[in-house]
Amino acid sequence: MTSLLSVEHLSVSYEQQGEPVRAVDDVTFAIEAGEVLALVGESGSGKSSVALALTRLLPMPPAVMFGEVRFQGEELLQAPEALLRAIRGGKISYVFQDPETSLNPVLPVGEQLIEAIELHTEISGASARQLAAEWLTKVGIASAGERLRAYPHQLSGGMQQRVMLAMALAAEPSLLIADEPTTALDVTVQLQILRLLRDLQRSLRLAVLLISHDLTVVERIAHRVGVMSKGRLVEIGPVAQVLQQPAHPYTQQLLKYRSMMTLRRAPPGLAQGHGEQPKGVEP
Amino acid sequence: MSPDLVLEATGVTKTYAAPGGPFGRRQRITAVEQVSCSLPAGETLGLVGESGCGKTTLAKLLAGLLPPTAGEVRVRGAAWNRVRGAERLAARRAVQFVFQNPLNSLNPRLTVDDTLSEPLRIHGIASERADRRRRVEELLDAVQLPAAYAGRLPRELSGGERQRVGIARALATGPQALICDEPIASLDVSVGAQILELLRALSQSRRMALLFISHDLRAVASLCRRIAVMRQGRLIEQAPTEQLLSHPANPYTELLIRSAELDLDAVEPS
Amino acid sequence: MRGFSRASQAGAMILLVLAVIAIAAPWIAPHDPLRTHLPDALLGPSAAYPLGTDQLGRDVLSRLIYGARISLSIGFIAVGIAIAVGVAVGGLAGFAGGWADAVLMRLVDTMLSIPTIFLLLAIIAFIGPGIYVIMAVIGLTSWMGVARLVRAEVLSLKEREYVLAARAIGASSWRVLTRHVLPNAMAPVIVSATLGVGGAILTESVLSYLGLGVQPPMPSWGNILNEGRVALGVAWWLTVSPGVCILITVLAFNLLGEGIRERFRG
Repeated sequence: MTSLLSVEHLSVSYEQQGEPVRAVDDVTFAIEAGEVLALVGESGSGKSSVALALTRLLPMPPAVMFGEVRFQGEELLQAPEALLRAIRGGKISYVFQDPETSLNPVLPVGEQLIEAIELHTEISGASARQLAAEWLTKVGIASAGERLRAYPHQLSGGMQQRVMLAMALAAEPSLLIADEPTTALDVTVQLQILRLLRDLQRSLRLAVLLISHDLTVVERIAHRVGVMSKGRLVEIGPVAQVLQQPAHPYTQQLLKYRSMMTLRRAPPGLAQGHGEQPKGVEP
Repeated sequence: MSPDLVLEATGVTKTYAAPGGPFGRRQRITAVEQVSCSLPAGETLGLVGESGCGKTTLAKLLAGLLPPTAGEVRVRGAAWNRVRGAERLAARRAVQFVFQNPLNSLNPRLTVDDTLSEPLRIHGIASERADRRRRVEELLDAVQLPAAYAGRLPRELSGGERQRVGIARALATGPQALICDEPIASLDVSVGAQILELLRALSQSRRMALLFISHDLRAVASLCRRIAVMRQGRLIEQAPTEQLLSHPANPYTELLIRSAELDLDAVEPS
Repeated sequence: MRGFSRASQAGAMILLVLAVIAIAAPWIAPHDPLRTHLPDALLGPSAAYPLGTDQLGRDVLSRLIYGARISLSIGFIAVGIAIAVGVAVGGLAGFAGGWADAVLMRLVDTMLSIPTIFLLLAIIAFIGPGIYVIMAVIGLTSWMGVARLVRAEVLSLKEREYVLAARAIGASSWRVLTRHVLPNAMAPVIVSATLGVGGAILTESVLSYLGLGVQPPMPSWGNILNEGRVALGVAWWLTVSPGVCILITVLAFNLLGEGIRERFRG
């Protein structure tokens, strides 16, 4: 059975002051349909570069990419640009860290959402508008009809990120790539957005590549986790295993530092997921 | 008023005049409202809240970097807005500040040595050059940086190293209290954890009070013995850490705790 | 010089050569610039007089070389005055804010609304021309741009965290201004200064051309141009050579200034 996404020996290098620098160094992993794979690492580990490299979103000079990326059987690194453009935002969609810079400030969010729908599905016109409103409701925005007309600056950070999720999911992608989706948000909002992400992932059986520096986020959402350091993937495996029995010294170090900063009372049970139903329904 | 209190805030309020829109509506924004808290010698107090809750404004008020609109902040009994001259300098020496962004809080044109010598010069500590040199080395040592770093510029240091320099600068006057405003927010987790350890060690070895401000309850809980929670300019709860975490009195505090634990299945308080 | 364009490097080289020539004038000028020798008047370029002679038989090349000294000194000193005044006014206005800012900026606005040339002419006509008068007057009428630049930089730098940090360790306002704010505000000032020297040299040339600049027999490029006016038909070298000198010098300053601006952008 072929994986939904299969990455083999992916490398990305830049030239910095005459010296080649490997932002991503020989990374190999796969994501199955419906699975959440997290990539963790500190700044400079290359995790964001991996996310962008998958659909050739890195500026090609100066970046040079090697290796193979297969999505639903098709190779992406060598594919024509037209194919990639169809895939980006469609079968593979992105959610980035800062919603403020991802949304066009001069267009109402409804327009941007409808544009995403019309670009990547057969739906257009009034049906697209209808679908846009449905999606806003699905991502937890009340009064969806009115909100379609709102401008990005009229929405809070959390709401903007919900809109971004709606835009990413309305095209019914097979793979969602989320790069630090909650890092720029307040902690209470982060809780809501992660809950939303988890619930949507389960109900849509969506494959997700989650980029994060936060091991607790990974614990709650992901099935498997890969640890990156200086461009290399040093460890990869099921979340419970990697976090409880880290094999690589770098992972052990990350966990050690994490344990230096925990709340003293016992945290709730570790990651549910794996297809279980969520406990309790949120209003 | 206990003489053992390094810092004491009573009914502190800070309001700003908002620039009214094109139709000239002038509003007053209240950043901090009627906050009272105190920091005894040697104590570690954490201040948590989300963005816009006023914690940074409160930090600056406590450090005497902003004048309050109402209420008073006292340093060892003397109110910031009533001390001048030598007394004010003494208050400055007693309460120091560590900033959030180490890149922006160091003058890019000054070497580490210049940055650390400045407080020594201003307060007349170590007037001899050799003395100052020695002091700078001591400070670098206290923050676990090699003495050779004295000649470096901020851009030649990593984020964690810059923050250590920021802490060293704050230690230069031998303060009784250190106010740290989100000191690890812009650092990697591992670097931040080390800085946290450093702050803990310094607080203990120097009997120095710490006011640690952060949006990250996890960091605060691991370092501080007491925690205060701020929301929309008000201090809504204050308690010893253990008590606050196990029996939060305010539902918002409970929400913060759940958020810090990323307890996705918690039912939200209405 | 890494980061500088070819053009600005060329500008810098030209200025270096010019500076050397100006400094070494007594040793490299073939003749005494003030020595008149009527029998040799209005001779074209030759071996003895590489750029010809003027109506009084003085060697044009030597006069140009000494003229470089004059023009460059006027340029630098005038700009020096402009920078000193501009930084003081702009720095104070930006840092102090409030009524000091309002008053000083109104002063700047007033000065800016007076056409500079007329102001210069009026003042010089009143006081009388002379090299030091020129320097002072050009300097005192061109500081306004610098003041605005500095004020803008200071306003933005005032909010930087390291400025707040300096206050937190107890630095006085004066110390904060002079040690933390102004040094970091100087980048656009350097660009403005570089371009300003070229401008000052041009202004001096114009004044000398009008007879209100450096007075003969002291040579300046402007007054050589002025003197060459009457003999333009018969002695083109009297006009072309100082003109070319001014052109090259001002161009060099502009290239260098632009290069510095590009280098420190962003």
